Amino acid sequence: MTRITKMVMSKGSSRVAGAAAMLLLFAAAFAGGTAWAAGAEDGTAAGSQESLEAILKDLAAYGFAEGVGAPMRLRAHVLARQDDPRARREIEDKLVAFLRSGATAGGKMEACRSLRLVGSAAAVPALEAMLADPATTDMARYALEHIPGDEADRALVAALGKTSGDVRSGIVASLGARGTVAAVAPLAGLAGGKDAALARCAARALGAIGTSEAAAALSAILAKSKGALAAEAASSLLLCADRALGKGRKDAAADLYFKAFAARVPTAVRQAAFKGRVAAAGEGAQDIILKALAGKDVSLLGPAIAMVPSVFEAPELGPVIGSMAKLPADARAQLVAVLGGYRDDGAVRAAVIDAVQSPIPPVRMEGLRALEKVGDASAVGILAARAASAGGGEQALAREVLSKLAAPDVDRAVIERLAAEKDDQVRAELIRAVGSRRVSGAKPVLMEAVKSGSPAVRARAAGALKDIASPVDIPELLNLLLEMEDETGREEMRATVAAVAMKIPRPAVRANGVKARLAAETDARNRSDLLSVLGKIGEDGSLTLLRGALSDGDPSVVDAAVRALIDWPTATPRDDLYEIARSSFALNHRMLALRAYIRMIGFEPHRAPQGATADLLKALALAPRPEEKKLVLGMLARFPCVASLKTAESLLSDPTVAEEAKLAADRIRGQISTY
Amino acid sequence: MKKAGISMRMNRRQFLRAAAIAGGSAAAGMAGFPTIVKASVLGRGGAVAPSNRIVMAGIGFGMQGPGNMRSFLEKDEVQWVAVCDIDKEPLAMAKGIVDKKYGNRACATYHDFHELYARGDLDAVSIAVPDHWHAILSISALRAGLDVFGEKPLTHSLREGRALCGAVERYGRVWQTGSWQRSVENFHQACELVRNGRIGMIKRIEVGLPSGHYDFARTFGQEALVPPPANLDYDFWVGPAPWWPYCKARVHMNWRWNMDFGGGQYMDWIGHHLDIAHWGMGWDDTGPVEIEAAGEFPTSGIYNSPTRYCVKAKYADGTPMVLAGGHDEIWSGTKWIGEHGWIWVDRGEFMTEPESLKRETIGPGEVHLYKSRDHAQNFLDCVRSRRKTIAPAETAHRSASVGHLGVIAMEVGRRIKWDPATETIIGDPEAERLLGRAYRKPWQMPE
Repeated sequence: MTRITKMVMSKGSSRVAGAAAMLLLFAAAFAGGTAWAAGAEDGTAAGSQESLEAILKDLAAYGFAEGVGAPMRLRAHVLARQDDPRARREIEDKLVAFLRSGATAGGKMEACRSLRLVGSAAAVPALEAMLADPATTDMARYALEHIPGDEADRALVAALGKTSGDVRSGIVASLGARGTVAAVAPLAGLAGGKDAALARCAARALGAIGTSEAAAALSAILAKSKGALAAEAASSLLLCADRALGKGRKDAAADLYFKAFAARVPTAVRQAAFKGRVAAAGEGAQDIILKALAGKDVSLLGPAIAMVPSVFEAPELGPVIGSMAKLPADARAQLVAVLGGYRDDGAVRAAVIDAVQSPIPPVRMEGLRALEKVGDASAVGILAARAASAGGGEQALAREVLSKLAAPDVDRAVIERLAAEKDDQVRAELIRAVGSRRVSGAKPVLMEAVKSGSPAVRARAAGALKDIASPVDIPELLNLLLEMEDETGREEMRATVAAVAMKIPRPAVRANGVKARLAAETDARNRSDLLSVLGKIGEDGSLTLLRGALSDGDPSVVDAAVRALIDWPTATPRDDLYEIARSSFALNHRMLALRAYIRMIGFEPHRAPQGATADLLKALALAPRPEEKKLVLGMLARFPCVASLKTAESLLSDPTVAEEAKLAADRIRGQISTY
Repeated sequence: MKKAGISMRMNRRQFLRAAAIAGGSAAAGMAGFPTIVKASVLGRGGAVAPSNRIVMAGIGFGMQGPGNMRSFLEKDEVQWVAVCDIDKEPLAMAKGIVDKKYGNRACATYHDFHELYARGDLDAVSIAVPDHWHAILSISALRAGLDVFGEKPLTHSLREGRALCGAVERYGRVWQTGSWQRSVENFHQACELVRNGRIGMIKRIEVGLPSGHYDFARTFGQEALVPPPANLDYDFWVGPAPWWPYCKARVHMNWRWNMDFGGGQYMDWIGHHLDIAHWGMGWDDTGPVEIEAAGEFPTSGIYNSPTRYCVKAKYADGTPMVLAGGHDEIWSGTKWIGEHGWIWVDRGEFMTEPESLKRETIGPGEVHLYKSRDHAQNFLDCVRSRRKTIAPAETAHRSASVGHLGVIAMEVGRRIKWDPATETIIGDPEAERLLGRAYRKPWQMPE
């Protein structure tokens, strides 16, 4: 075991809202070490070196208003002597004496905090003497509750007879937390007493103790109580039952669960007791569940369904599935979700597919989720149809499930379905699935669809090729791009070519195919498309071409070059964009470039914040509109430093962005402030 | 028997009534699930009929509460009926938001959560209160048969976390933690890439968290001990935590800098970036086997949570993880470093090495992680289907556990060994004492 070797009082720490020295508490020298830890080893903490008497002298007058100084010194003193048993005993002795002195309540509380850690039987008498006093009982328990041994138990039990009201409730709670077996009899007496709050408290403590004796006492209380006490006794009985079940005493557990279940107690307690009955029932568990599913007590449907997976094997589910049609919709949705936990079972799969086609939306949604786990190739058509016909979350879920179905032959089923499908929307969904599932065998089908499909299918096929085409396909993909007529399809294909190029491992050659094609291309529209692709690839060697295109004679090519720079995935062309933002004749180019310039500063989140702030100040100087100023402010907050704070604060007086400036300043201040 | 079944057309009120009768106690509260009936059946033209909405209430409106509530209010399938807070000012503000949404003054207000839970018509509750209240409010809600949308960290102590998870299971409730990063695409994508081995075996994980203390409430320096304002029930606010006298800087929002109420930046963020680290590794139901920690703590002022810290954990397969706040070498967010590259993700950020990894997709037959793109909607969907949410209690507990163990390691000043199966500290009874703490009277942890 490693141990604390050094502590440090640093003197140079500062904070925004007032200075405060920091006490450094360094634990073990970490394996491998770190620079900051090494640096800490040269110092010595004041609290660890000064005498305990000096610390206790200050603590004797401690009234909470003095701050954490003296308490932290005591903490450091105790911590520094963790491996010195004699010193720890001395500390305990002195803290015990301190408790018997006329020290303030605040001071004694701090002593009890330390005794919580180092106290032993020797500290018990002093703490016991504090138990009956409302002013000191809590602090005494704070230590006593954690001191091991019979002495602490005895002290707490004895205090039961000397206290009343809240003080006694606190002691009862501590006995429960300690699991004091010897307290069962007195607690049982209190649980049967006239003080209603104390009775509930005692019942709860008996549950925490959880022994057979505690269970017997709780059973007796439950039998003769009602209302809140009965609820507490039944809840506590559940804890005893859980413990018995955990120890393999099924019969005893079943008896206790049944007592809680049969009592007039809140629904939630009966539901929990029902689950316990099932867990303890062994071979009878299936019958209990089936009766609940067929019964009148709707409050048991939820817990019955929740217990199905722990009781039924897949081949045994027939009666459960058979109950589905009679269940209310919410219970049906829950059961469908439960069925999703079973695999490779035809009856389950059929029930889930049925749910996917339910008229009730939540049942359909749960059916889709379950189908992801239990579905096979036969689900492809249903999922594609739902994805094509549904909207919103259901459509997204159907697509997701179709992309994730892991059963054998799903890919083949997708291709076969695609070949046979006539409905364009369903075809588009199947094409989407080809891409998301990376069905490489479908590449020729998609290439053909790009050429001859309907516009929607063409665009979808172009998008799917992004996932399944490889770099050797780039020439053919470029052909498809430049032959396409509709802009939606071309846009999708530009992204696809770039995405496929990005699959080339060596960044420096990723754009070669596109650059070669650009060199041979004279048509402005085609050149613009190729420049756009270069922007998406973002290979730095292409920047020369883009810079050259900025002075092209065709405005559409210039526009494409600017937008390619704006799209650039790294911060490399940041200075180019700054120059465009500063000097372009086209207002839209200036604004787009400025916004991209600001955005690119965020591409390097681990830059020195001062450098990023300087770049943002340059952007601010070019930002006449509130929109761009707000972008600058948003980015400033990601680079907290004094300079970014000052910059944000400088805009507080600008009414068009004052709110954003305040938010940014607050966030920066929060990140650079230390206390 | 056939007639006894519940008709698909039974509406929520009928369902409630039936459940209450079946449960044997009209005041017991409904603990089943909301009834779903086609909107068209109810003639609402696609809108969700009031009788079939998920009935919700909220507790705590000092910081996260209003935002969480708004994310539910925008859902047609939710009917927000009540708000609860022990401070009258945020309570009135929250009521105003709800009443404005519905164009009436029907939103009920509560001071005491017991009364809210006793209404009997709630399906779910959204809880956004200081950490030291998480366990009591949440477990009480679960015992009342309510599904819960709760904030991270799951609880203030490890023992509380285990009790909360136990209650979720025992009472069969749906739990969603506010670890909303799981419902955001870049985090989901990063985790799927890691889980599917795109960077090979993971050699090291780095989790960067904020440092320092941030003055959320603009109350830094207001440390004079003064009587609490009339609008705030301060004794109730302190609740089960050790007593501290009122001062303005101690309460709303900035409570998190006092370890008795919160856990500093470290615990505030453990349920985000560490949670994502666990997700990527498939560690949602386990934890580290060793942990050691170092922190810097204030020596003046009223706050006592670490302002700069480094926690090192080791998992059962030997993978090391570093969590740090205030250490520039550890990037904010989550970074997995593998044999063949690295993946880093943060809010709005996603970087990989090699860069091409970002464009990879996950195919059929590979590991597909739970997908949600709307954290609140995922909770509502699960309230209806009773499926587990994307951020269930056990997951949040395991994330928070790393935080709790780090705090304990700082407190005892040595490496601790942890058995994530039994949730016990091995061979260190002193550290074991810090897994829970005594509650101030008269509070008692429910289970």
